[in-house]
Amino acid sequence: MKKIFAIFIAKQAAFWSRIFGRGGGGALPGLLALKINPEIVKELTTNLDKGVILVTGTNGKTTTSKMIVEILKASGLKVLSNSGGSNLTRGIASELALKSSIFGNIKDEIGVYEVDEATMPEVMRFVKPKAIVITNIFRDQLDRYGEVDKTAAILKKSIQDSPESTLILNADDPIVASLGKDRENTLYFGITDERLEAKSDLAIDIKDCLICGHELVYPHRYYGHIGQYVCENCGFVRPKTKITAKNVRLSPDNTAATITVDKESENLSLPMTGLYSLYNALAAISTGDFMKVDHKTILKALGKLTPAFGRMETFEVNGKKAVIHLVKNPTGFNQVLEAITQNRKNKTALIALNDNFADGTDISWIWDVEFELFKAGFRKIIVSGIRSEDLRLRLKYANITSRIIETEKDLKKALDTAVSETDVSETLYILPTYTAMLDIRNNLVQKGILKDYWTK
Amino acid sequence: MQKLTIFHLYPDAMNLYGDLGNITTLVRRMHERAIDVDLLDIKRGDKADFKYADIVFMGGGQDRGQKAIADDLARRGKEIKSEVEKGLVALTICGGFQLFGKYFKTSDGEMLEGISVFDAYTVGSGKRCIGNIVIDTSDQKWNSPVKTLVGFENHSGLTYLEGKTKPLGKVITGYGNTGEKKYEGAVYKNCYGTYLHGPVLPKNPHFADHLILSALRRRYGNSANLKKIDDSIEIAAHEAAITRAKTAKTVHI
Repeated sequence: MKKIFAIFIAKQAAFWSRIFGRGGGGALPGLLALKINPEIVKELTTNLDKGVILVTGTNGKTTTSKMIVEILKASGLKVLSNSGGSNLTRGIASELALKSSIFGNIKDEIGVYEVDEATMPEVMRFVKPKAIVITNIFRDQLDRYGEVDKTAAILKKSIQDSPESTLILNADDPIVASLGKDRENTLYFGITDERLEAKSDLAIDIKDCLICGHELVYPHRYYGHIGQYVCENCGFVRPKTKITAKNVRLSPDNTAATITVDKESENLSLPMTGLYSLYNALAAISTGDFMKVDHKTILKALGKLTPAFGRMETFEVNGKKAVIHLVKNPTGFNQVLEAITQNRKNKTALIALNDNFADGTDISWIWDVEFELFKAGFRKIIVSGIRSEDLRLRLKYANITSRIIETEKDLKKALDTAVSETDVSETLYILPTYTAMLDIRNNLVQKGILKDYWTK
Repeated sequence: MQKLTIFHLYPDAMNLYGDLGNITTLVRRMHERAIDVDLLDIKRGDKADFKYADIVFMGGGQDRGQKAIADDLARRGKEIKSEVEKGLVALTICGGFQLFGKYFKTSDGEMLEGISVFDAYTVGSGKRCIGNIVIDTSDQKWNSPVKTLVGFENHSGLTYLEGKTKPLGKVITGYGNTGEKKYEGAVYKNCYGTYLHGPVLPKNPHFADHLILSALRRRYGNSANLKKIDDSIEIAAHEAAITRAKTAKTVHI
């Protein structure tokens, strides 16, 4: 009875939330459902025949989940996911309650959920996942998570509680890879390409072996602490991968590579830019392989992919091309910048820094971002958001000439200025933190340029 | 040409909160005054003679980073302490600040020995002090009309000062050394410790200049001075941080 009442209230909340234009309801229906029945997630997930896959890690959760959903759908499965963007327990509860019948029956066969790292222990209390995908672990919102080591410890504890779940791990991230040590059911993915070379030395979170504390040696480092590594003291080494990308070709709006699964090779052409997108794709391919989806089906699904909400979303505004990409931590931001600078034409940028709870209230991370890269072909940079003054200062210390920088604290005005400053031959790159991204997107939805994420 | 040498202690292990921004700020502000800068990264095991240092900087790190360097720092402790007695300028942040005190007793009861430059000790606590912080530094005799420091604090260690070590400022908004909203940071001679990151120097240019000027006068005599430079962007960020500290919610984890 409690279950039915919880589902009923959640559905009501979502309905009224949409009527009053307060968004898709994201977390609210789930929050209410959990209040009424704390076990709602556990009770409803048991109705998913093929189980649940969880996706966690610092960067790439949303995009990787989306990729996995598309792959599984292409294989003919009915998939449930928390695509509304709330990756806390309430977000998962929302989707389950809204997609099930009032009696708790669900048509879908499998659940794919992205889960915030800090929420993993809570979610694992309700769900025994078939597989857990871990993309990477970087410094992120230190005000919320504390330290990188703490995040790793939380994940380690969560996966120990579920020995029957298969771990799908990024072999090139030593923090993630160490989570698979001494565990049977693990599946590793990674990149083997000696031509790739890290461009930034900032924000490297680990230099020491997590097993023995000795300094790690990187014959090849791709970015941050991601690459091919070995500990010369205890012998901890990048694990052998089942799914491997080789011969990587990066271009401004596409990433190509040869994907080898065991000994079989296929070509991947991903309509997304940046090495980090390739890692997301590898995580998704590994999950598809684990679910026994045919490799051609997997690669075809990835080839047709559209970006997730606010992640390299491309659109036209007043006849000008614009791209919006969420930035939330130094490694993610550096990767986005590296990808953007592959476009060698003139560009403009709108960078928006908020410090609300969902953004992380500590903004010192902007000093670990290579803003120096903005020298490459940016003709105009608008800085905005609650902490626009800090951004402006950061740009000064990156030696970006004041001639091309304009501060406009108000996001709406900043967007208008940025659009009008952009030439029809140029691309406008919009780089906001989370809550700034929501505001900018809402503004674009009101203008009729983008669609609400829940109708996508 | 005047020249100053910066020793950056453990940039690899202690670099958690954009601390490199402090170095960038010092270097840039020196270059704008035509002061030549020698920047030396000192890592575990490196040879370093602190007689040649004009400014020593040490940032904050993870617990793992702090433990990894504690022994190496202890070996240099006597030398650093003796130079500080002779007026060496030093800035230590968070974990660096803690290890420049006598000891840090973590919440698990583990003892990390410090180098006792500050007459201070740190005790781990269950809660973390996290949020924007503003402190009143009008007790410091700095040549500036700005009497505040702004930044962000995030620490579970609580630091208690004794003897000749004095606080850097009084807490206006935030938690401070002991989490009781009283005092923040530490000063002994020209050596400073603080929990403020953000990083601290870019938004507090008067503090950066005070460090540079103190180092300059120690090396080149009391007639040395610093030319005024345009700080409008720095001050705008300083003032915005004061405003934000009043409205932003703080979190506990």
